[in-house]
Amino acid sequence: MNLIKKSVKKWAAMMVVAALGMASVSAADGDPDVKQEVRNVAAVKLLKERKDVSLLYVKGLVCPSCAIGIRVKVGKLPFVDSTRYKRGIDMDTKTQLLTIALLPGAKANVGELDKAITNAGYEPAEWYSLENGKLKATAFASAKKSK
Amino acid sequence: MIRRIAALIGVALTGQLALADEPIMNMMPRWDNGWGVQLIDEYRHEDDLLLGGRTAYSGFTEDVHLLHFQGVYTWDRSIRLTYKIPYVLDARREMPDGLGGKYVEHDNGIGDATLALPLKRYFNLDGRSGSWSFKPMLRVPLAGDDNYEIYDNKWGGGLGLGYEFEMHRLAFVSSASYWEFEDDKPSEVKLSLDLGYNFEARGTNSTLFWETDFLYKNDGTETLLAGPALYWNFNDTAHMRLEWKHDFHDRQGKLDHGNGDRILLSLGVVF
Repeated sequence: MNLIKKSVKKWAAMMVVAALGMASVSAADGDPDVKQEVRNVAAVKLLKERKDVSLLYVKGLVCPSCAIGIRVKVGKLPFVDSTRYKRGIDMDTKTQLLTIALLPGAKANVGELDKAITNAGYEPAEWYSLENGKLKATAFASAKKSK
Repeated sequence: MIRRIAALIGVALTGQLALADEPIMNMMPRWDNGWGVQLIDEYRHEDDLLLGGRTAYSGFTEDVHLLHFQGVYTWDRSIRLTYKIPYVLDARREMPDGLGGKYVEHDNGIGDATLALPLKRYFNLDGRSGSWSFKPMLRVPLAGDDNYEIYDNKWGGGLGLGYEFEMHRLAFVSSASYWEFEDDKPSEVKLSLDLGYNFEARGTNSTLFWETDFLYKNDGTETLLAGPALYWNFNDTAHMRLEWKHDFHDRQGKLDHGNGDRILLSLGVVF
């Protein structure tokens, strides 16, 4: 019995040390939960810098590996220019902003984007555009339903 | 004395801690109709022959070299089908001959397969994404007869529960499972806790984990093993993982090897 208690204590101590390490690393990196104001500033900057793109906020896109499913599903949509970025997709895991390269003259089909991102395992929240220099956010249909 | 040793050898079973992780690299594919295959090269070395919490025969070693063939199909993101088929390239262990010496036993060939149906419920939050999972499992006996058995050719049924999430830098994976087997093979409880740090290097992404596993069998066996693991993403298709685990605590309910280390190299492709 004492042996079990000892091993559980040892294990718990190891876990606490590891968790503290992770927490400090995470804290040093800044708050991963980006506030909407920060995301808005980043979105305006991206929309001004990039041409022929769709810019989306996708909930859950927090790690670079998360983009694999997005690239698999969204990268093959007919309006996506897969020669730009990485298979037509660029993402920022801090702000969870997803840039989709569009073919010249093509228009993104919001319904297809909504379905492809959902099938990839993530939640499309809204897409952004600039109107008279100001950011306009429009919610996806699936995001409206889930509210 | 000789009869006692022979009896102990007779009941000796291999302390096999089946891999708790699921293909591919315990995370992919999350997308509908995704699939992948994974090959794991596992090497294990145990230093001593244990009985209960004490070393019964010091320096009686065991070396096991395995290949694991694994695959997954994601039906829809909440339903996956996985298989794991182990193949023993060579297993060798030293046992007491009852006369103060050792004799060596070998095992090789296919092991028992594991089929699983991981059912997942995902959540996507602002800055965090993860899942809860429930996993019915089936052990299918495929192993043959050898000097001794790494896999003991028994049917088994298991249930697993899991909770995991990932943030920009942090990854957390936890799971618990229970296995029941036919005949006299002891049932098993497995607990697993992994903490990971995500980082980018050379245009790709990786995670450095600290992993801890605990195995309990109802014959009194307890094994606590832990160590680092590195996940490396070559590109969207090819993935690699290197893992080392050390037995920090080992107690064998029956005469068996322990106090060892294991190294696993995994290569996986996902589509």
